[in-house]
Amino acid sequence: MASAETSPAAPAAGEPLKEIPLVHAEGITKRFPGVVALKDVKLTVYKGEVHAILGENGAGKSTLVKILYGIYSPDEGEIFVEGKKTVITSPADAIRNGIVLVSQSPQLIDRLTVGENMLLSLAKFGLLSRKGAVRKVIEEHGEKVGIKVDPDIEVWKLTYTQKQLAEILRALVLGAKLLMLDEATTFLPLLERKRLYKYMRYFAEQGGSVILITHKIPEAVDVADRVTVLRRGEVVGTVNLREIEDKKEVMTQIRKMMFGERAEAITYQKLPPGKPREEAALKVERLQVIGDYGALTVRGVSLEVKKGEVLGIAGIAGNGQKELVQAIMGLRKVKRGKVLINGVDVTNKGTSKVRALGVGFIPDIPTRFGVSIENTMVENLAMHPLIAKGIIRWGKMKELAKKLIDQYRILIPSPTTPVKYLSGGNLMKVLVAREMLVSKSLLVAYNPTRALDEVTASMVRRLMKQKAIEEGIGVLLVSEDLDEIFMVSDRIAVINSGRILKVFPSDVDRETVESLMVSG
Amino acid sequence: MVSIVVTRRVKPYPPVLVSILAIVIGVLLTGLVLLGFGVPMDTYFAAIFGGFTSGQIMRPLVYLILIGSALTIAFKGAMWNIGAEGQMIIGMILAGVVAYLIATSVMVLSGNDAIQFLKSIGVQNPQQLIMLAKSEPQLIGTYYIYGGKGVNAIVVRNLTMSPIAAQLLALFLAAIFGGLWAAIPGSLKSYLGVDEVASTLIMNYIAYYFFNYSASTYLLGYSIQARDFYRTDQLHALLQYPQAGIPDSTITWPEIWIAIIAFVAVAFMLNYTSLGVRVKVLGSNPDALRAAGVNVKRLAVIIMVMSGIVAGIAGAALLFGNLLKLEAIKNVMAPPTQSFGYTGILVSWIAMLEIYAVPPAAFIVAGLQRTGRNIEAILPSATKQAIGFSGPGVMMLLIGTVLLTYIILRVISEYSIRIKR
Repeated sequence: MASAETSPAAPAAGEPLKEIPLVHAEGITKRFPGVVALKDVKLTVYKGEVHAILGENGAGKSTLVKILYGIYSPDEGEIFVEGKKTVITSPADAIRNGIVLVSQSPQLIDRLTVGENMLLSLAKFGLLSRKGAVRKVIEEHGEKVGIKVDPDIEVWKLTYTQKQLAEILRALVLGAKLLMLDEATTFLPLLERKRLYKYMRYFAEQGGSVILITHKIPEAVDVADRVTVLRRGEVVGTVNLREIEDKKEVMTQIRKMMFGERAEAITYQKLPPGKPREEAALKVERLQVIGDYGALTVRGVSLEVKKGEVLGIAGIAGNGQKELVQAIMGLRKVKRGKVLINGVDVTNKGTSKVRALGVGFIPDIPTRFGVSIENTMVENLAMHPLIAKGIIRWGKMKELAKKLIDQYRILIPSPTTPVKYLSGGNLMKVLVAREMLVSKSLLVAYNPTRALDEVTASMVRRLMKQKAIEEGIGVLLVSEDLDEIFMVSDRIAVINSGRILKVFPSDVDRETVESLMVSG
Repeated sequence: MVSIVVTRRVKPYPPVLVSILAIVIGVLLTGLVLLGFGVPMDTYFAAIFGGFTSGQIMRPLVYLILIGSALTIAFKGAMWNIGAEGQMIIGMILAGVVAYLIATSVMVLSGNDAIQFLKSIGVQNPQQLIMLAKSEPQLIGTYYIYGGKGVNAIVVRNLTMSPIAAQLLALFLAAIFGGLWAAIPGSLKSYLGVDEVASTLIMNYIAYYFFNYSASTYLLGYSIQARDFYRTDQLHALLQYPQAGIPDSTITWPEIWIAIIAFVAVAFMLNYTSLGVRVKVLGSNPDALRAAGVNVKRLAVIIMVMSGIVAGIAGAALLFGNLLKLEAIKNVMAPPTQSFGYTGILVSWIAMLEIYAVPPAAFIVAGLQRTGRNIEAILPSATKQAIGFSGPGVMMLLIGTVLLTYIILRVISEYSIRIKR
């Protein structure tokens, strides 16, 4: 498929000569119905560098890497791999060229084991390879990266984090020269993220290249050699981070590039305190919940969220947060204990009962428990029992959608566009917008801002707090982002191994909380 | 080097275009096949024209709209209801119960009693009427008289309620029980995880047997013909739907109205109610619906019930408008439903589960059905035997070819082929 032709674009002047471009894309333009996703984009990734691509939700980051991976083909533009003009028409093509993409949602086949999944995608294993050979390769690579995955375990038994790590491991086993991580780390717990970043540096030192897409600017600045900023499908510029000492300064510069004057709306300042009232919006009493694998995952949690306050739950992912939140929402069976919302006992009464009390919910897997991607934005609003009942007036529903689109700056061609055409962040915005709307007494939020760009994330945090203060709703904020917890919460509870270890007032110092989070 | 690049279209061709193209190509291909068997092209096209324009298209059109709408509800919600057939049968049985057990009373009279009775209702020549009734039921006032066994024997059915009330009651009960019949596989699926494709299909046969049981026991008629064929008496003349008078068609006004009303109701439900939105979301992401606080198990059952209601109504309408009697099924390939419960699946898929596309899709399938039958009629019997076409063979050839073309074009239309240098 590839034709031999030398790249006209040698390294640009001013770049050190020893840097050899691994992948160079030029004049990339891609149009989707109703939007231009990319416009004349130029990107060069050198051997041995970690290259971050940043931009607000819907800036075109995902589209760009999907083009490099052969999922989309560009309307215009050329791609050069190691100086050779290459037409990439499918992921198989890309993999042959050493380009591998790991995205936000794991692509492994649930019913097969990890090893079998690897066998599927590895050309170097023929049809007759034994599983033992794969196991060896997995273990070898795993050891190098520090990823431990049992090759014989069926994929459906893995947690999200484990699946994602297996994905990344597969990319390495595939012999990736260019590893593209499209928000692949977004839903991973902080510890795993940090471990991966460390490995990414090691991978780059060995001569590999990484394209990292994330909206966590501090992390990107920490790990990347260079940063390319996209805005509305166009390259704003590329920043070389290697010689820069003052990371703070450069972050401000990057934020400006990403958001323009709206960058000023980004804030990490503590939000004003809530106005707790006497009544409790949520009361959980000695709650016990069984996890996916039959073990007791929530082990006697008691907590109370007053109306008008935000209770933050800090903890490392996998300590029972997901199960706790699902049990409160009636999505998971409570083994023992009680859940009361507005004083009404809703233990094991089902989600309809919980929702009917005016409870908003931002779930852990937005595309599964949040929105239905095949449906349009208005349908995603109207499906909610708290938004539409009986006969639907579509005119009003569209007005509502437009209001939310404006307020949350959702990039969507029209309210009747199926949401599967939206970028991950904009999808999340649709969900957050809807759930904020239906929160009349309580909002249960699980990592509500993790797929959002900083401007939107700041806005969502502000809105959550505002709703607590002005409308007197209770907010249960479960987040792995400790900054977020400290910014929004009025009280901070620390969860560890399915137990709430302690509840602090919001002026507790960070180290105390952190040490409790990791205490064995 | 030149390479051919096949990519998936972000915006595929409009489905209407694909459908039309599939029909044109499918019809042409079938024409070629038939040409090979000695059917001239002009005869073939005349048969097609006749199939789509004759009044005979009306009944399949009406029932395919009804069943197509019923199944669109279920399929949109990802409930694979293959049981419209059985739900129609249950509707028919209930309509029969109303017609023969509730809305009419029956007397069997013989000898002098028969003659006395006929005189008492003002018949001038009772003997002659008895003879006439042996071959054709006779209506005198509200009395409907059939021939009974023996020379002077008659069977008298008398209305016990107003015909309109009886017809409405029949539709009502058919709807309820059609819905309940569908609720069984719906609940099995929702609460026990039993696959609904298998259970709805199996329940069609249960319905068939129940139908045969009903027709040969408690609904069994009293007239000579009924006793001989394990069937009910003919429907009381005043309960039969009035003919619409469309040339070449026996379609009745109520059947047409029922189809229109049911279609509008289903379209409204799907597109303008919160229930409709939830049906659609259930079909694409039940987890999101559950997390939003919708009882998805109950919703799945409701979807089946709605689907069964429409199918049940269709069954009742078919008895009052066309069958006029229930006769035990001797060949499962020729059930009293005329297999609309199965053909409707085709309609719903050709319409791509879009309710507004159901009437045109029904028109196409009905037209092709009629065309097939027209060709069968003109095909020399020697040819039919030589190629092994029997029964509705040509019809199936035609519909099958169109469908296959459609499926192939659907896939192709999603990709674009470009030559890259």
